[in-house]
Amino acid sequence: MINRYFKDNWNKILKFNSNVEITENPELLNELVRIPLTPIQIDSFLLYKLTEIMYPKFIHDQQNIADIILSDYNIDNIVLESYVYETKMAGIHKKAIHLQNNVISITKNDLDNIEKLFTIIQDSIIKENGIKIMSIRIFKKRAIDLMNSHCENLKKFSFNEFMSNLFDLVQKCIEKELIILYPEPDIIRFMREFLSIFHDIKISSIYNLLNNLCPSYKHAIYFNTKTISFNCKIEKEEYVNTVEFIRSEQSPIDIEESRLSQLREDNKLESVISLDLNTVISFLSEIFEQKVPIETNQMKLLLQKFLFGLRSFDTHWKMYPRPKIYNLLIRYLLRLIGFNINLRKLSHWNLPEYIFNLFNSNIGLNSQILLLLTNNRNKNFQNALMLQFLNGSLVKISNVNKTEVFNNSFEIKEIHSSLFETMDYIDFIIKVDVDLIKEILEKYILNIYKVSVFKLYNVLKMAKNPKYLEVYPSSPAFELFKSKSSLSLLKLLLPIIIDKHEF
Amino acid sequence: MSQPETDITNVAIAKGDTPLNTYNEILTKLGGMEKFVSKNDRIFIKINLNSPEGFPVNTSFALIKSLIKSCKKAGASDILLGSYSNKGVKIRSIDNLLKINESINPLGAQLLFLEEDSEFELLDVIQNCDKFFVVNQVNVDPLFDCTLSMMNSFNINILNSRESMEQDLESDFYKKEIISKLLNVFEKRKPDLIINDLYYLMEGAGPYIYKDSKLIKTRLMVGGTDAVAVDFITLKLIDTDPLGNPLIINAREQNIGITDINNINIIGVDLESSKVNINYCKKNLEDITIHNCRIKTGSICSGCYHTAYHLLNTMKTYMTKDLKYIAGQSVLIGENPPEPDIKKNVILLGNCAIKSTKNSSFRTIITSKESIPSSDKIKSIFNRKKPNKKLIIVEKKNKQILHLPGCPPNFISSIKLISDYYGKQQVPNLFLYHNLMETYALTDIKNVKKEGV
Repeated sequence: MINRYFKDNWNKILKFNSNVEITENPELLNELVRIPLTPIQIDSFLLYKLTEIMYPKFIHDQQNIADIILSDYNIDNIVLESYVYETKMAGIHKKAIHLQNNVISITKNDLDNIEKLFTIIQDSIIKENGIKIMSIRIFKKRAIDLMNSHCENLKKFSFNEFMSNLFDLVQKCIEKELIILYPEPDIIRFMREFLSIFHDIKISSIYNLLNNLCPSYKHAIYFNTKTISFNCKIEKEEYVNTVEFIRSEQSPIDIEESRLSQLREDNKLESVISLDLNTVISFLSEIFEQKVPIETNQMKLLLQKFLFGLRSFDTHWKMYPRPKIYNLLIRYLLRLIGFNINLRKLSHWNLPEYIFNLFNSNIGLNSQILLLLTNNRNKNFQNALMLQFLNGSLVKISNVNKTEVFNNSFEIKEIHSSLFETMDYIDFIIKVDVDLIKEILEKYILNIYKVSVFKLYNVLKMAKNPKYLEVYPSSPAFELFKSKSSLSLLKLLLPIIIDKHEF
Repeated sequence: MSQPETDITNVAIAKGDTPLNTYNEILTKLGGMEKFVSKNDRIFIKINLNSPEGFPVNTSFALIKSLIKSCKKAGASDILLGSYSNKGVKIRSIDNLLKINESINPLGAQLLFLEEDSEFELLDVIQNCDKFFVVNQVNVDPLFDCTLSMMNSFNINILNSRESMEQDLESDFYKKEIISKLLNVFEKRKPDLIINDLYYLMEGAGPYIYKDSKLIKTRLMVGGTDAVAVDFITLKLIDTDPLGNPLIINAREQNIGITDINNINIIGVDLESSKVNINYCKKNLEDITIHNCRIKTGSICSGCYHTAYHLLNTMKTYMTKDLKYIAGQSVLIGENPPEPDIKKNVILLGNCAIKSTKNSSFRTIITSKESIPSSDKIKSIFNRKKPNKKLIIVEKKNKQILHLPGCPPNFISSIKLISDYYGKQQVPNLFLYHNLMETYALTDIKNVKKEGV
């Protein structure tokens, strides 16, 4: 029933996990496995450690679990297969115990009350095997089929094809409830609610869009915890992406710049970022705890935390080469000409509040925004997305038929008036060119270590050009943005973005 | 006031899944648009167009679009839209930004710039049109609990008011003048169709979007042919006593519209079971909590209360960081306000506060220092004795006081005065907000400056 390629790898992981306890130095085993459902090779011990850290945080923190595969047909007992894993540590699966067909019996109606069903399954397994399971994973046959076909193609897929297929698989399984976990982890609930925002949009298409916009890069993120450290090398060359996980042999203590520099030189990387994995996990857990659509106040809080992390350079994260913007001499010279840029003094506590309040008053608490993605070079429209906001929160993103939007004209004004007659009222149309997005991605995300006030100035100048960014009808904020020169805009915004005191 | 027996009006309440379905339901319950519009009718629709902000500060454009379409379908020849704005911005400026005319012209409608041309005075327009409709967005309002359809019919341009004549606190001229002007419109020409849109209603702070503003979904709309009755039922729906509302009280006293529930025939959903509880604007200004800002109030006229309400909410929304660094600010409002706790950064809002505190102790700063008088110093040279220090008390004029003159003070000028008082380095957030306001209210600020406020 389960794909061989997947099963062999899974058995390898189980075998390694059961060997860890009986081996003196399991970290020396140097065995490679694949991350399940991916073609990515990883050191078995690293996967073991990552599961140990992440599984209790994101999925479930109790021992022992049962996997049940259900038929898609409405028959007396829809259980096709069932397994129990006795796990001393949550998520560390060692041995799968196959249950006899008569141990668990489920009808389609039982799925309506999953809590009751769980208790029945728990009692049956205690009676049969003496193991008290604390959670169940229910896979519908359709999910297994999808996973099997995904795994079958893993060898053929390029990295991007694999990623797209994986996103599609996850989206289908969650939206159609092909996989049920009980007790339901926050991450699954969050993903289900989050996916419901994307009306008729595939996450894979967003991934592909963003991937196409990204220029070539070669970076590494060095994750560090108290017990293990590893680096994740991400590379894009032309249209080929690669991801590699390498366990660090060195002890996971405070990361020194020399280690990052060495890593950069050894792998010929553009930059290396060092992050504390536990900080990342706790931030992600906080996101997954949110109800979607995330309320404005919660969004403000999350953004505050993100900005706080961003400003904590050298404490919560490090980077090599050090971003130029942190260079004391450069900052001093900039200050002399009136620009106070100290990202360590980023106003994390004030910015979210100010941004959201300005956004709400300019755009409104309820609004519909049509986002048009253009490609000036090819003189065409790439995408049209409708964003719907309710009470200041994003509640729906949907695709808009391109031919419906760009029927006769590429002029934003004419598009607005033609849509006013045919569609619901659209508050704003925002036309963004892919070149501007590429510029922002390249200058501010991928090459953050090179970011400087002049690059900031260039991007602002580009954004003021209607060829790259246009909003119709306008708003006071956009009018102000257009009316001020890039320099005076920087002078106006920097005191808001950066806190005043240097202590 | 007794109502004539024959005066029975229908008021429809609809509850729907979408605003447009609810609007259609209202029309159906009132007999359809054909009942209100005849062939070749010239229709004037009064909407809320308060400032170039998003929904719900202005009437929902989706609703306006549907209304225009249904009027056209019923045979209307000309459809005119009009509104007076607030926050010191002209309708033409709002149109320049939001491009309303460009959107509605293809549908056969036109937005008028009422305040610009005497030809377009509201009374002239509504008297010369065949039908007069009011589509009103209901939000909480500091003066009248919520924005009623009757308020929609006149310009309450409080935020852009010029320094007006001195007010008598007891008679509260400001509020009375508004009410009388509002009701005057209704005496001249009653609207033929009124829709109060409370499908989405802004509560907490309003009718502009502030930090404490929150949108609630009531899924309700109220419609009818008598504005007073429609407002009466709207107030009932949000669980407020209509007979406690000054507009309804005055309408009742002047026998304008129907204010007796027995003479209102409610069609549609049940009134009692549809009631919603909302959070109203803070009635007591001292209850508006602003970080590092103490608010002290004396006896306040409604004009100063109105401006102070908006000014304080603007501070709360846009000055968080500024006030953190200022570390201490007091706002004194009304006649004979209490003394501020600290003497620095005292903002006196309105003529009453400025005049009544002329002799208050915070106007002077008393400092004492120990020093040796020069005569003693000379003596000490000859006596060879160490001179004794004497305590000298120095009284200085407190320069850390900002006056926001006017009754009520002009909102935009007040923002500018505060921004200038602290300087843009001290209040960068407010400075940006002021710059934003200037993008749409520049002409009005220039006019205000000329008048010397």
